[in-house]
Parts: sequence; C-alpha cells; structure tokens
Amino acid sequence: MPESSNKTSEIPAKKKDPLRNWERHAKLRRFVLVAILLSSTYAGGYYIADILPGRGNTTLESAIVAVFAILFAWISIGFWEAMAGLFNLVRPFDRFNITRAGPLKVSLDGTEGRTAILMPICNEDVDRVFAGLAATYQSLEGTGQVEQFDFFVLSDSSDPDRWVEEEIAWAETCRSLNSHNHLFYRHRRVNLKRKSGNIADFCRRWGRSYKYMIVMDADSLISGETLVRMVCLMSQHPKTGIIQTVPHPVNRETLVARLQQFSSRLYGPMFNAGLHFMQLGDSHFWGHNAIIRVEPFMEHCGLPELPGKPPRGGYIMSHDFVEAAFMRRGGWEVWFAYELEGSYEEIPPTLLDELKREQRWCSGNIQHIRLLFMRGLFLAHRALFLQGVLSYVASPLWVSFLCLSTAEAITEVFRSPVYFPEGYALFPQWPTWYTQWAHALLYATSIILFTPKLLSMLLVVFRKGHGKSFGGLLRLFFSMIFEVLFAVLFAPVRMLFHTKFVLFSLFGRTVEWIPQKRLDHETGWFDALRFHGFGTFLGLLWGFMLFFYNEAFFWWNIPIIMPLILSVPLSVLTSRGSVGRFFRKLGLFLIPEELETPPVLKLLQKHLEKISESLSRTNLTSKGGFVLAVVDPLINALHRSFLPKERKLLPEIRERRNRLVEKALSNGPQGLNPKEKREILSDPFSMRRLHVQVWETSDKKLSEMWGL
Amino acid sequence: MKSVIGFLSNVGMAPQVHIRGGECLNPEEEQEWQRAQRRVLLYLHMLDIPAVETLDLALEALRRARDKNSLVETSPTAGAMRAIHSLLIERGYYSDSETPCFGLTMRLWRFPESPDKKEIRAMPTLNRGFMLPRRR
Repeated sequence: MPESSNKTSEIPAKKKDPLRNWERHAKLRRFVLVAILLSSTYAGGYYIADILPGRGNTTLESAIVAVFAILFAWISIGFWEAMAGLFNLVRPFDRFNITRAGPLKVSLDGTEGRTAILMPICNEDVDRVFAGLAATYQSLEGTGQVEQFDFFVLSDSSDPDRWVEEEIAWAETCRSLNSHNHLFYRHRRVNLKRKSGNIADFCRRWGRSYKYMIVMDADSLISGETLVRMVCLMSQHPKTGIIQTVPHPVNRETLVARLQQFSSRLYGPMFNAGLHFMQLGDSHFWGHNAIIRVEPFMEHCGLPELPGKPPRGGYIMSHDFVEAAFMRRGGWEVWFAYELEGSYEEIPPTLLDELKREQRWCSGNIQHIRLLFMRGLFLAHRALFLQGVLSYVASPLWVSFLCLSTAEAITEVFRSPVYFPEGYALFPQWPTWYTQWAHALLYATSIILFTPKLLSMLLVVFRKGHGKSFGGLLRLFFSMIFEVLFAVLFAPVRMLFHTKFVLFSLFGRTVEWIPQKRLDHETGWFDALRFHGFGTFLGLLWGFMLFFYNEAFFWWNIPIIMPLILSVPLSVLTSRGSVGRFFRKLGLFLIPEELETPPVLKLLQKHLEKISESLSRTNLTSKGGFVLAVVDPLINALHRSFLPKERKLLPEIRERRNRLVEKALSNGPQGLNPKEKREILSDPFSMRRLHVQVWETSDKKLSEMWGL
Repeated sequence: MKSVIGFLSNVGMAPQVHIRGGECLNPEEEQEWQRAQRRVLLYLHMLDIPAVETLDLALEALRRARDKNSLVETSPTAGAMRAIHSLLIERGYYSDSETPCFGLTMRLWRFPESPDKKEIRAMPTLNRGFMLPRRR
C-alpha cells in the first residue's frame, strides 16, 4: 500500500470478504491479455508486411506496418475485452461482481452515515435539471429511506438569467415535494476548476457531514432503489472508495442519439463486463452516476494544477479518471457495478453536439499524458490513462495509415518494377499483389470489429428471452444490421474530427467550455456545412486522386471516401427527430426502457410537464431571470435571501455598482451585459435598490422596459 | 400586467380609491393616481397576498401616499410604492434588510412548515474541512 495511506486514512481491518485476493486475479488476467495482444499484433503486422509489394522493406512500407500494428493492437484490445466480458457473463458466477458479493441488503438502518446526492450544473436546462432531481427524490421517497439523503444542486452557472431561474426552480421544487432542508441549492460566483472545483468546494464546506456522496450529471437519473443499493454496497465493502454504475442512455428521439442508445444497451453489457473482468478493484470513475466515500476522497483526491498553460497545463480537465487513480493511490478500491440497473443518463442529440463534447474529452485525455509517470499511481490506472489517450490518438493514426497507403498506391503506379532486386539472377522476381491475402486481412479486421456486436446480440437472445426487450428477434437483428451500417458511415467523420481535436490539443489550442445541449434539437444545413465542409472537400479530393491514379485502390477505400463526401446530409438527417421517430415506428433501435418505461423515467416526464407550467406564473417569465429577480417581489426576496449577508464594500466598488444601477434604470435590462447583470445580482443592496426604484418609476418607457 | 388588472376589474376587485376625499383632480393628476393604484395592486398580486388583505393594504397605502404627497413633492406612484413597502414590513410580510431572512421569504413562497418546526434553509450549516492536492 502506498505510504500516504498509512499516514492518516484508516483502512478498515481485513475480514472475510468475497472480493479478497482480487489483485492476484487481476494481475493474472492482465498478463494473459497483454500476451494475447502482443502475439495477435505481431501476427497482424507480419501479415500486412507480406501483402505489401516490397514486403515491408521500403521506408514507406515500414511506416505502414508500424502504424498498422499499433492500430491492430488498439482494435484487438476492444475485441479481447469483449471476449472476456462474454466469458464473464456466460459463466454461472462471478465472484468479483460487487453487486452480488455479500448479502443483498436493500434498506438502511441509519448507521451507514448520511449520503449527499450532488448535482453540479453549469448553465444547463433548468427544467430538465429540477425535473430529474424531483424524479430521483420521489423515487427515493418510495423506498422510505429519503431521510438518510440530502440533495445538493451545486450551480456554476454564469448566465444571469439561468442563475435566477435555478433559484426559482429550487423553491418551486422544494415547495411541491415538501423537501425543504433535504434539497439544497448553492451558487458559486467563482467557477474555479469547473466541475472538479465545484465538487471540491462542496467537500470543503459540507463534506464532513456526509459519509458518502453520489455524483450525478445534469442529465442523470438514478432510481431510489439503486441509490439505496449503492449506499448498502459501500457499507458492505468498507475498503471501497468509489463504485461506478453504468448509466444507460435514454429519452432521445433523434436518429444519431437513438443509434447510440441502442448500441450502448445492446453491446454495452458485454464490453462493461469485460472492462470489469480486467480492472476488478482498479476500476475507473466516469464523473457521474457513482458513489464516493467522502473522507478518503477529500484526503486523496485533491487535484493539483499542472505547470504550464491550458490545455496542456493548468487545472485537470478530465478529472474523473485522475480521481479514481488517486483514490487507488490512497489505498482504496474502485469498483465497477456493471450489472446494477436503474442508472440513466441522456446523450447529445446530434452528431455536432456529440463532437463538441468529444473535443472537451479529447483535450482532457490528451492532458493525461502528463500524468502517465506521476509518482505513486498504480500500473492499471496508468494503462487507463493511456487507453484514454489512444481512444483519440487512434484517429490521427488511422489518418496516417490512409495517407501512407495512398502514397504507396500512387507510388506504385509511377515506379518501374525491379525484376532483379538482388542483382544478376537466373529468374526474375515478378511484382505480385496478393489480393487473397488482402482479403484475408480485411476479413480478420472485420471479425475483430464486428464479432463482439454479433455475440452481444446472441447473448441478449439467449439470456433475456428472444430479444423481447429490444422489440423481438427480427427487429433486433435488423436494428443491429442498420446500426453497423451507420457505424461504418459515421466512423470516417468521427475520425476526421478526432484528428483535428488531437492536433488542437497538442498545439495548445484551448477548448471553449460550452454546456452540453441536452434537449432534442436539429442541426441546420448551414451549420452542418460549416462543420463538415472541409471533410466533404477532403473526401472529394482524395477520391478523385485515387480514382485517377489507382482505381483498384479507390474501390478499396470507398467505405471511407463516401461517408466523408456525404457527411453534411448525414449529419443533418440523423439529427432529425422525425427520422428517429420513423425508425422507432418501424420498431428499430428500440431499447428495453422504451418498451417498459421504468417508474423513475415516468416520474421525470411528469415533473417536466409540471415545471414548465409553474414557471409561467407571470408574463415576466419571457423576459428572463434577471428581470424577474429585479421586478417580481417574491423572486427578488428569494434571490436576496440566497446572497451572503451585507458586507462593507470598498467605496470604489460601491460607486461602480451604483453606476450600474443607474445604467439599468436609464437603459433598461437590455442596456446591461451579462457581466454587469451578474454584478448587480450578486449585490443585495443593488438588487433591493433596483427593485424599489423600478416599481416607483412613473416613466412609461422605463416601466415597459422592465415589463411593468 | 394589463391582464392582471383586467382580471381584478372584471371580478370587481379593483377598488376605485377616491383621492383627496372628493376634491377635484385635473386629468393628468387623476391619471397619475390611477397608475399608482394599478401599480400597488399589481405589486400585491405578485406577492400572492390574499384578496381581502390586498384591498386593505392598497387602500391604506394610497391614503398614506396622499397624506405624504401633500407634504413632500413626489410622484403618486413612488409615494404609494414607498407606503406599501413600509406597510408590508409593518405587517410582517416583508423584510427591510438587504438580505432578508430566509424563513420569512419562504413564508412568502407559501412553503409548508417543516414538521419538526426547523428553520428552512437553502444550505445546511457549514462543516468545514480541507481538500488539498497531495504534494508531488
């Protein structure tokens, strides 16, 4: 155990635990995986070298072989992990399955300690946040254990309107659920270190009052029973620092999101079981839908700031993997509850939204290169960092592979064949192109990529009764076929964008933090052209060049060239809710939650409808949160009561704020920029003054500007 | 806003307050007082105060504004609004402080009382701890 863990944190004494000796098993499993990977990569590399005209002896061909070997190893990891998952799922009992290890206690007796449910938000859709929270709260109420939990909405919102809307939604939710003193709201003025800083701020203020915390995302939803179960699991496994659940994507209408939902629900169980098989107690943390033991988290998971400027330096962006690694470094286990149901999330509705999110993740993962050699980390977590980096770096490697093989194909056209490469000889060496070998390699790669998908489907068919949970066997089969087709179409588009993101990160271009769009909306043609125009142009140019110089090679690359050319209509059409609904009507891409809606998802829908009604109590609502906070006496009082008590300010600050109030009174709310609005909102004196003066005005124009 | 006033008038709730006890006002002044009346009623409506109490408060506020108006030169709207603010504070609806008491605000929001009579809070009591990065 690392030195730090012996200093202050107390790891409970070893008792007979079903998860005991997991480290030994993990080592053995990882050793076998690495051996298989190395041998299959060697075989793949050897095979491609033999296919190439120069047998891999030229510089260009050596580069092709090297890049291919890395990529082959990368796709093999997925394949062997899936095979491990299959083995894990078909065998009768997994001793290390944390959800089954130990008694299935489903109620808390109050001795486990209190649990905080945290929802860190930043300029999110207010209705969805509070509807999700209310649904989770009510579901928890149904278990009779709600008294053991407190909910915290931890807002980092910088949009002044959202800030006020969140406060109103908090008050309305508390009133409707009668959940006051169990549902809390905190707005942070300085958004230091974004989400990780937000959580750390909670820990510093209230962490000592709670034994566990369950972190949710703005689009997360966890059923009450699952929440209770998570606490029970932590209580049963006192050496565990984090338990991560699998959030199932739900509630989407657009085609691209429905495809993701379907693939995650169908293939996810096998890949997740495989991940668990390899990681055991060295698992990962995805930053949400997970339970954390607060005390060791506070002790070991403080994140350092990396030297240098963002995105390579500064605060750690993808904090979750690092926190899991730090927790392990502190001597606490991190487990993946891959079979625990009742945990949900919503995914980006369009390809462009997904790519914007990917850009953030890519930047964060690339930053992990700097943590690879950090002192005290476990090898498994260093491997996880590397895997995270490779998940994006694989794209530029694919691009390099395509460029190199295109160069080879074009060079081949212009190069005169050398019949006697070794000088004088009796027989010439004819240049040969072993088409059948190339086909064999293509089939091998396809098997590696698509076998896990097929096996996942078979697993569903045999385990869950003829795929009824996916709409029946036939629909499941066709859904899988179409999913594979769309995956092939999207792959080159994603590859191109990931390459761009990796290059941006490596060359130090910072990523703008745009909150994820969580509601269904569509991509316009103009936006699609702006984002995919370059890809289309590249596809056309590359296709034309190949067709002109080496037609045979062009046909080999058509599955990559065509999607790039068609990326604009592909992005637009798959973002359409109507297209998604059409496929749903056909019974394709159905997920179990659509055929039998879980109660917590029904509750979410109910609260979404209710919240939008309650927000329309006055016609000021359309004017935005800032106007509401200034004009509406109830909301003004509510907002001011959230603010810290009046402090003596420096005369120049007071004067500046007075000037802002004057500006608001003469120009109306439109005359203020968001920063100025935030400054007024954060000052109770200015808020009261503005409220009084707006109501006292008899100026008709000004009254209209403020909605009076 | 007009709809609120319209609604109040339709149901016969908008009171016709006679300012200066039968004294004749010029049309401009009359208009100013009518605006003040509407503003006060709207304010009370937005506070969600019960109807009868609303009328009582509005009448009292306008009376006070009239009395003050004869002494200090101020617009009827401003006078009426100042009067209604002080009336609300006097009757315990409202707080004069910059950061009003949370419990009072929650009463305005018609929060049901907590069963254990605990004070309603937006955030629990602080229980500070440390969370620092480990030294490299």
